[in-house]
Amino acid sequence: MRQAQIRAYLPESPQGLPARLAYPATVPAGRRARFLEELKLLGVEAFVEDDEAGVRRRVKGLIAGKSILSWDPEELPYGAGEALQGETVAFGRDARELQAQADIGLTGCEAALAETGSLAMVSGPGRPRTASLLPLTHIALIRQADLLQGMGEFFERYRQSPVLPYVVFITGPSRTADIELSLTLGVHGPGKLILILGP
Amino acid sequence: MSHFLDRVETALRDPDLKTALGRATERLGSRRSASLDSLPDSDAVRDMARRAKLGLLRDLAGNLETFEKNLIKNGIQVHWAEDGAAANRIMVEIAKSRGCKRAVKSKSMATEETHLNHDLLEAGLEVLETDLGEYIVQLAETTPSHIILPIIHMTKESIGKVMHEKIKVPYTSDPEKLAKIARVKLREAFLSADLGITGANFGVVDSGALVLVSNEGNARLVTTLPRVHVAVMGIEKLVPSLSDLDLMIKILARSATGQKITTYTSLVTGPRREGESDGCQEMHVILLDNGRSRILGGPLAEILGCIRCGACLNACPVYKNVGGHAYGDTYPGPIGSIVTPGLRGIKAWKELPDASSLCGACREVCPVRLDIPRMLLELRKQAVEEASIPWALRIGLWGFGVAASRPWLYRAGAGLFRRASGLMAKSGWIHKLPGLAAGWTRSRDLKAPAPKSFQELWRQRPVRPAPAAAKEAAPVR
Repeated sequence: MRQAQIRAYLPESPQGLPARLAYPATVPAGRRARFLEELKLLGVEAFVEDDEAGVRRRVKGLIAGKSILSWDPEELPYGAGEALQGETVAFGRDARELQAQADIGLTGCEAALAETGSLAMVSGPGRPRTASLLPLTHIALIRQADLLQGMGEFFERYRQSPVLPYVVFITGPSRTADIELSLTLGVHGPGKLILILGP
Repeated sequence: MSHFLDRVETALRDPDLKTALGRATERLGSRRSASLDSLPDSDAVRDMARRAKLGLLRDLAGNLETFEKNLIKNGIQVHWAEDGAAANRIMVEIAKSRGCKRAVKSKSMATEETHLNHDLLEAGLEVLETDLGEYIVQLAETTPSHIILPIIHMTKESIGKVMHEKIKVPYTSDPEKLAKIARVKLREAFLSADLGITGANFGVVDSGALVLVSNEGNARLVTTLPRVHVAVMGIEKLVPSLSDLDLMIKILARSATGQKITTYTSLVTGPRREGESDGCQEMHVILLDNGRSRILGGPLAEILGCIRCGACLNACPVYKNVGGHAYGDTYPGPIGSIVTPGLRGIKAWKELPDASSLCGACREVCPVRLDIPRMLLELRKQAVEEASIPWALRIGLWGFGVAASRPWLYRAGAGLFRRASGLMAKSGWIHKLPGLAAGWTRSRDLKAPAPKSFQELWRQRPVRPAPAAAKEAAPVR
């Protein structure tokens, strides 16, 4: 009886709706173009480098002389860990107070999503969440092969993991419009996001 | 006058509030439209979202059981709270037994509903709201007036004043400076807190995960730094699987602020894993009922599909004029007019479903296509059945029923009214009706009826012969 009541007030949807969202096939060049478009709308600075050395040079140029909070070097793609040599760096294993002093966070990412200009960051050993969260500037390295179209595809990959880790999708810099609708960046998270897209 | 009408009067007399609300709802509303236009098949997406939500609600109990199992599999401890007081008790117990002294909170409507902060403070814990708007609400010792923009009703000058008075910083009304001050203050709190409290935008049944969306990053900090994390989630906030989550994420931010997606969307799956250097060490979820299961078997059931986007607030002509505080409880706007009487009972809240012209703008914009006008009418029906309505109204309605079902009586009465109002009207308008009818003209003028009714004019019209041409016109096949 109660089941009948429940069903009466929660009607079935009309027939003819697609069973699930359609994920049309896309090509890497198309995804990259779309990704860069979305980043422009978000005010995210993006660099596209053609080779590993170019990536390492770009990273060095951005972080030289600053204090950095980074993923462990083995976790960074393109051997970018090399750029950390000679710089002031804190890692996940360091004390919070030390981590909190960094100006720049340096990370890779699990995937990037072209549709929305997002990064998918999966946490794990050597990949502290704080690196993309505490400093005012966040630099993320993205491999072309990890540039997916959207969240749907990411979830296909992600749900295969035996133990689901913490994931955060980052789309642009931290922002608020709580005060009279005026946009302010960097309220709690990074106010500046820089992406380096490698080969 | 009732409390509700008092609050409405107060709101209507505030020109700053009207400007602020107008500006904000207009901007959010137009951004919503623009961003939905850019989503292919947005109507189908909304239909699919509705299908997913209602389908889940049809077997909420079963889904909750599965959800609990999967949460536990992820190492999350699950608690069930029958009502707000129970939820708060559980929270205090967890905090005390883990030796927590300082809590940081990210925005949670569910904890507003249960008045959690009050109980935590009573128990001797320090609680800091970290969403910028909620932080200022907390400093100003007031309540939020919009579910997405809590301080939409405050000017930057008043915000500057609050911060200057409460945390002793030099006065400024520059939004960027104010935000920077808050960042520094709250960063210190994030780093030293031992308890993180959040709500949950969604719970994914298949994955045993919670989803938190934010633009500022405070939800991330709250779930990354303190050693204990407790989330309070209404039992209706579930979605079946990650692909349904994709659907919901696509429409949530678009409906709320016009963004394609919020800056941060976190999938929280449990305490930190082996080898991780941050994340909580212990995670709890408090599943809150507080009247939701009572709504489930009745005509208001589909309101449990609400994803708290606030689009209905921005579209509602009533909300746009009176703002959130007039509604008197946690949830304002069209959604609040149903949730508040639904959860708390119609007797004390019958004025809320009345405060609507049933224009349906809310239903138009709802990402889950909730039929809000139908539910408002249902509540009005319940109000008549359960709550007391003034005897004058009962007699008036009975009288109208008698007159309207007897045409001769109706015509006679209407004729009398026309003659009488001809005497009362000044240049075509009646400014004040007498006696019991005075309520109608308290805030509007009544146009005086025409001297002759349409029926009279029709009967008195000169009869003309039909034109000859009509007879020869070829019949249409």
